[in-house]
Amino acid sequence: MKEEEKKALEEFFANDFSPSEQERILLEFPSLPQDAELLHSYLEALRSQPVPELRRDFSERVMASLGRPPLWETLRAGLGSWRRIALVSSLSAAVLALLLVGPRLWTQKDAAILVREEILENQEKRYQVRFAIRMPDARTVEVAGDFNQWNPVALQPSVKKDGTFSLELPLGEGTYSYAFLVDGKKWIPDPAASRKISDGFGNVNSLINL
Amino acid sequence: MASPRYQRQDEDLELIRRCHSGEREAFARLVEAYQNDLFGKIYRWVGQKEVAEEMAQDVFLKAYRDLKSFRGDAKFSTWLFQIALNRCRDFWRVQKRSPDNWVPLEDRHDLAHGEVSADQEIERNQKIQRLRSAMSELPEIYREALGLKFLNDLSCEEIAHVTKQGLSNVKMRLLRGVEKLRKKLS
Repeated sequence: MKEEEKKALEEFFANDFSPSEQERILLEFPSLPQDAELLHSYLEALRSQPVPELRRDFSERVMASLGRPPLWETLRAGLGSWRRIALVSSLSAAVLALLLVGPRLWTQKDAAILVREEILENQEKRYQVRFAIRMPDARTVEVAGDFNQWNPVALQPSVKKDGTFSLELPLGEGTYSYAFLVDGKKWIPDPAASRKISDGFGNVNSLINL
Repeated sequence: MASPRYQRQDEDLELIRRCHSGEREAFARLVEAYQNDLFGKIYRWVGQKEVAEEMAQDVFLKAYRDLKSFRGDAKFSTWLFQIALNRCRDFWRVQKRSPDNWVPLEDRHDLAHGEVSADQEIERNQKIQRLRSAMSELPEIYREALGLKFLNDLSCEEIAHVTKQGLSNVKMRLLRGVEKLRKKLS
């Protein structure tokens, strides 16, 4: 057995299989060392991908999604001490504020920019890029950028009628700035894009690097 | 003095008791305690930040709604993870019907930063894509066993507990799963 196969097998078995089990398994699954080694190389690629940071307001969003507490819950939680009453009062005020302001903050839900690589017949690399954004209050959403000479192209509304608009565009390698045009009037950067750039006229565009 | 593990369990039980009494703030403390770990586990399965965040949010929402059914006979983290596993199952069922070669832009390392060579980056992304694609094609029982062990680093015993399967069943699913996965990857 090769050294790499041994290592991969050790990782596979870890502390889960006794020596006698391991012996029996290798008889029943003779290709396991090679299988484990192949899997190991793929898993290393996946594990080397760092886990991104969770958004900072995650817990606030969770609590806001719970909805307003029933009045009896608030009253019951408030009984017993002034401290509890003060806590419940401020919590109710915060929930009320979130209910008033929240829909404006969370009308626009982040969507991932998805990319698919393609190799053309001439071995050139091309990327199908899926632009997507959730704007339930918008009638139309278009995208424009360096890749189409800033001529807005309409995104298609989702068949699920959930306010999501999306479009796939083929792009070559490079860095592009772009933005969304909402209802033909308002330019906004892509909330899913982590990189932004000012256009020098007071507007902020998004950057995508392929 | 109780070990950190039991301290955490005791704290969770106290917070859950307070949730049952109507203290929402107690649930917020539970969310803060487990959000990063849960998000990390889900992200390893789905590979997309926004999707993983949304799924983690769904998990906490479900946990809040079902909190009355939590009896304290298992660790809260295990119970939470079981909800997450069900959510991941739904995700994979949808994935099976979708194009399997899309990768979120954020999964593609920014070459402009020059941390990894272009060839290495392409190879890594291709491997990740192929692995996710191959796993999405596996029957659920094998995909789950492999994902829980190799993406979430659970032991066979923990997998048995979370999936409510027998230990020998879990081991066999791992072995057959590896075989099937290798065939898909080769």
